[in-house]
Amino acid sequence: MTDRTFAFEIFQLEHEQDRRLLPFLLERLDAPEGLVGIAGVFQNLQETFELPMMLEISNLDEVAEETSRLAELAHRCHAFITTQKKHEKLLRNQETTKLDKALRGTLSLHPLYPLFYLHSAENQPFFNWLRQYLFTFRQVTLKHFGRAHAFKPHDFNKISTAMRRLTDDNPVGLQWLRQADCRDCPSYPAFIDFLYDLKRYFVANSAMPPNYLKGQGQYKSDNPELVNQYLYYEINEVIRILSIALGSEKKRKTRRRGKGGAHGRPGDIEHHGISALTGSALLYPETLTEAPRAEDTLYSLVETDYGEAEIAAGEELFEQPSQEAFVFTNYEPMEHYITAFHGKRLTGAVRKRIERQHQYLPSSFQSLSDIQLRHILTACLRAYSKNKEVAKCVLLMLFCARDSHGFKFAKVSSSLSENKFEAVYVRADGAEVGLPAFAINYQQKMQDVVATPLANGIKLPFPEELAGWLAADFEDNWYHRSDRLCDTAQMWVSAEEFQWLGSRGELRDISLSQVANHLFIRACQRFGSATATLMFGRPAPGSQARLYYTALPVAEIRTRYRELIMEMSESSGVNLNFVRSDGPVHTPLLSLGCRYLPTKQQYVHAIAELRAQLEQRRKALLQDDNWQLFHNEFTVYCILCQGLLTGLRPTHQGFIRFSDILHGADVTVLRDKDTEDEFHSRIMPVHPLAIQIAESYQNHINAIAGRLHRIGMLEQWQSLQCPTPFFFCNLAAQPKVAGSVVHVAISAFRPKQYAELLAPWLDLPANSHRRFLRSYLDMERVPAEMIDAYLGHGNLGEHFWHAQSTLSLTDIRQALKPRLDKLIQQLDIRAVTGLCA
Amino acid sequence: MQEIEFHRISGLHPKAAELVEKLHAATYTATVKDIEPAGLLALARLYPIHVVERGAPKVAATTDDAVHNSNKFQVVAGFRLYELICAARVLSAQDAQQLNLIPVVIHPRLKTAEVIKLAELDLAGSPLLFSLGNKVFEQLRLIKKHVSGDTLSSLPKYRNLRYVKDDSLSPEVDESND
Repeated sequence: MTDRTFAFEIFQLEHEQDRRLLPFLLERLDAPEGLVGIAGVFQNLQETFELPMMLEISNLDEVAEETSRLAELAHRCHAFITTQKKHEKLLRNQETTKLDKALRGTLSLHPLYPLFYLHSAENQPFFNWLRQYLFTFRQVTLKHFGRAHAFKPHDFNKISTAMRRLTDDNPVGLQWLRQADCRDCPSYPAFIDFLYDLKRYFVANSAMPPNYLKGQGQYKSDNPELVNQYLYYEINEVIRILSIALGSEKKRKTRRRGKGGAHGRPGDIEHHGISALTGSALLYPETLTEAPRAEDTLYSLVETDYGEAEIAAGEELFEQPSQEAFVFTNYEPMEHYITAFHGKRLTGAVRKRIERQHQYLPSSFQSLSDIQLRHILTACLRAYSKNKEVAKCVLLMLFCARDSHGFKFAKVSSSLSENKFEAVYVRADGAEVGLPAFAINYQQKMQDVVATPLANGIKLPFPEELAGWLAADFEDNWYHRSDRLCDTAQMWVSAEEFQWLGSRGELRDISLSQVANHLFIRACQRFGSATATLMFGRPAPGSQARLYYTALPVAEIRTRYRELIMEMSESSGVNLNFVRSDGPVHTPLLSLGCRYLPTKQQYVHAIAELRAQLEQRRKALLQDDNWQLFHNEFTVYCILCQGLLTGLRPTHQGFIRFSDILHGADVTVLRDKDTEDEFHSRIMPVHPLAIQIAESYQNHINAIAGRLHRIGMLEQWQSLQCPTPFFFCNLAAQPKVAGSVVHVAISAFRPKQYAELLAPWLDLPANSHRRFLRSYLDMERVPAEMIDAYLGHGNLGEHFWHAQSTLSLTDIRQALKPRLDKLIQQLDIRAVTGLCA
Repeated sequence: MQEIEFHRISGLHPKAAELVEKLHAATYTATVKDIEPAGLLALARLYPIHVVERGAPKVAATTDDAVHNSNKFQVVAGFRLYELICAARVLSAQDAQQLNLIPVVIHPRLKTAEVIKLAELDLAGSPLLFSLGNKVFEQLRLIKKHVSGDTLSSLPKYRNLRYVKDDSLSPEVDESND
């Protein structure tokens, strides 16, 4: 904002209204702070508005009125400028007529000012009309079309330079000015007609290159033709800009799409699958990522709402609701999609399209049919001589479900080290392949917790047939290849080579990405996307929330891989067998997946000890503030036990209250995320024991209401809108003297406080039960969509409460109840009575 | 005895509140849900809450009505009943409506010593007077046998007289067992 104090000093206006208008006037004139030559500007303005107003202005009463008021004000201000020495620079510079000298230092910052200042000996009327235009065109545009923003700051610079050049160093332009008749100009279009006339005159009278309509020419060129072309281009630009006031759109150049090489592609997307860009923006693939840098891969960028409560609860970024997503492909450079993301919002239509894709895309496009599978397997396994290299690539791609790029730095190793996976490596006897684990990005660092030990990768067993084939190949070529997987430095197979593999053209319709995706898609179908990702170390499209909650024992993943291969063997009719079963050597303790997974034993201990503690407390309820401590521990116990049965997010109230349950249906409707759309209000079936826990908690609250009154806390509780569950805080501050007066406070459920109170028994983030539950249910082979529905995970369009969903509450209840019953037995979860009276 | 609006009772008398707070851990057979609002009101008529006017108005007010409304009463005895009424009002808005007019005995003016005496009497005497000796639930069952269902309808406690609540049994089944 330009500082206008100097102007106020000069023009000591009496009327309040004038003083108020002055900044507007100067703003319209684009006047610099120093007001250099303002007297000349005022003179011009006076001349300008002695002419009749153009139609566009006079048609709009408000603009016309405002304009004449400003013109009058300019007239009054002009009177304040005296010929004293101190006002010298405000007067028109009589010595120099060149604008850049006369208005030194103001041209680039105040592009329109010189045009108001300019005095043309050739054709003053033309410039007076121009000034009328420039003085009003923004207001007129705004009134007419509501888009004053259609003008960009550089537009004004363009007008300014073009018009100045017309009077300075453009002989043809000067000629035109001299002969043009500009006495009348009734409207904006009439003025633009002047410019068209100028354009015609210019083309007719100056030397132009033959293709002058294309390209911009060059202003600083030795070739006068190119200079003329540039001047011609400038006039055109001025016409286009001024035409905005008439409602025409000026085409703006958009940033060129294309090779993002120099700007850097979203480099590590294909590597990690997800990357947190800023504090709360997330990136993840929406389609199957095949090869790195595949240009048709679709990514989603979402901005999420991730508050302190969620962090305290141990929630992951991916779980948070996002208002809008920006969808883009890998083809676009990084800057482009970030700016576009902040600028644009994804339209509903695009979102719907992705929803549909998630729901209806047939996987047969991306995976192989049984016959194709047989052709590939037979062709590869009987390949000989030169073809063997290609066959090996194809087999590894198929069995490891990754593109040939995925085998970068792959090695053959005599023995796979226990838990080290920098790259893919194949054991020399061909019986096993080690795949590095998929790197899940985490927003928050976490303190070390005691939980299941994690593996860094997975060793998948190969069937005998493949193992034998690979072992023979490795042994034959050991001398010249050493530990490399292939003859060439990198594993690579072209589509043609792949086609030749099939002797009778039976591989004709198969693409390599189908080969690389087949097992992955099968794994997604059979075990859910989390298992598939853990198994093959590559991300599945869509929400990654499940990954943050799933960890499976390595042995289990190996078992599932075998099942997958057996299924493939059965359907394709090619014999694939596993002779050796997993021995105890295979580190059965290690898990793969989310960064910590509480063990069953931890929960068994926590629940049992907490219950023992409650019984202990119950014996001495009359002493001191024991009943308040009992209340806190009882609340923690109820939340913990119920949470293990419901998997509720511990962010809001963390507990399904008795009053939240629709009795008879045993269903609860709850919202455990902070958005108003239907995606996060969930209907879920509740296990009877969870209801029992809710009821005993409600009875407990009824019983302690009287006690709250006695210690004067009832009103406080009511003023907090009776939060249930709640905790007493400040208990530690109490003097432990019998009969002392209690001054505690009440706080509604907060995940952090819950975790702190639970810490003596289970020192894990508040939402660890969700990890435990998801992994437990996954281990129990509950279908992934059931788990998604129960825990509130899932992609856009996969939510089971969605209109298109065919999953019913009964299905979910039937699928989960036996598993939850088993869990109750294993963990010994019981409903405990709280205070009775 | 007269009935006043609940909101005109500002709470416990400060001296009484001190005493009550020291006995915060006491337990009783019934919780707030064991007696319905109607029952609470009937009991309050039987054993009215005793209140005292908080500080007499020093300045003559403009109208009698204004004085009447601005009076705030403080509870000096009948704490348990008052506690249950307060809790019931907080836990349910519906109950709050029913418990709007409370039968009380208004003591025109009491010295602090008198207040303490009344409060102590209530806290010490009432349990002696009312509490059942041992085998509480057995006694309650006995009472239930001889009292008409009509009376018991406002005392839900009698519907399920088991010390440890067993949710697997519905109230009807339980009653038939008795």
